[in-house]
Amino acid sequence: MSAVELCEKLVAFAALLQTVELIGLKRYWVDSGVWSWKTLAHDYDSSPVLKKTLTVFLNERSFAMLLLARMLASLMALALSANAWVLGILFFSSWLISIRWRGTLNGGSDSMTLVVALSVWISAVFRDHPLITLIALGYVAVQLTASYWIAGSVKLNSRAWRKGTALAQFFKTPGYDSPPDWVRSLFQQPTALAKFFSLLIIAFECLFPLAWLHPRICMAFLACAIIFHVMNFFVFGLNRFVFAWLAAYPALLFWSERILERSQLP
Amino acid sequence: MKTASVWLQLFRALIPSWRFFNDTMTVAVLEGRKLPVDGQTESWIPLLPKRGQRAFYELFYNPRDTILFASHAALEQFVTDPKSLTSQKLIESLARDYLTTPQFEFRVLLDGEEIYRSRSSEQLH
Repeated sequence: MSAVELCEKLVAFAALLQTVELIGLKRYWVDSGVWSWKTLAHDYDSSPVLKKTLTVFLNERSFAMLLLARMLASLMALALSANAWVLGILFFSSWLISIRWRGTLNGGSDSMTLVVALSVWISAVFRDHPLITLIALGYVAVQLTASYWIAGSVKLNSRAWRKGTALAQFFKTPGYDSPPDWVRSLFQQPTALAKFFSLLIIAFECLFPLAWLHPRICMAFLACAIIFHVMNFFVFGLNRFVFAWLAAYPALLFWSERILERSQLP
Repeated sequence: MKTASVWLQLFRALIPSWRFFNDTMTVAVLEGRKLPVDGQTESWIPLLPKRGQRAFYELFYNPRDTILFASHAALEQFVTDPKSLTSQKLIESLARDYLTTPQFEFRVLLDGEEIYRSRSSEQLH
């Protein structure tokens, strides 16, 4: 299976899980729910044409259909390969869902899903142009690298992160305040271990661009990244990030292999 | 919402921001209380619940955390733009949803300081 096909399957799997979750949250997005479109549509009062257009796609009934279409497109993308229509539905439904939740439902995980979905869709549209696929995979790999490197650089500039006290502060922040007990006790005091783990996270994120240098280095970073995201799920509940980021990994592995091949050419 | 912000909202998810857990954030808290029926005022309680421990299956299906993050995001959007009608209605609906009563009031605290208090629900309806 090629890298782009692997990205397709993994982003389809991520989208499938996200969609099932959204269907489970139906009571929140129906007309009587907290995130009713009748409430959210007020955001577009200044642009009546846009409001009318979005209402066609995002009212309660249409949104249910949109979720159904996304679920079917995900299943088809898992079964078929490089079908531009299916991948187009996957991308546009993901985008509309983000708009429905005032930009994003789950922050970065929506963005990464869209980065990968857009890239595999464009690659499928221009399937006879290998250069487009190269660029599309390159875009995913660059965004993936940026996601770790930017997050790491910002942490590196933070005194609380360098001292190892930032995580303890996050555990007092609503929304991030339910880590497992052993994690909370580990980071409650500014111990040497807490500082070590904070520096380890910073080092992993800041050094992530090294993954481009060699497929083996890339595999090592990706293995650490999977552990990192699974830990983030258990500590913070960020389950959607695991699968959205996983979908981007084949693109970086592909590029690290390509760079190695090119560097070995006589 | 201004027209420029509307377009920004449309494309927000397509323009990734990767600044995760960058520093200690300002803490917005949504508190509410049921309105007294017998003259006795109840104490304010935080409305967005804490999560318990996570089970392995929630790696694949975790609506509880997802909606909690969305609720906190709605609260942050309200703090950023308290004049937004949508934000106000969202926060009010959230408070109603968690308090499960038609008669309530709610307030938003930022770093422990009250920045917004609703009119009582009797006045609202």
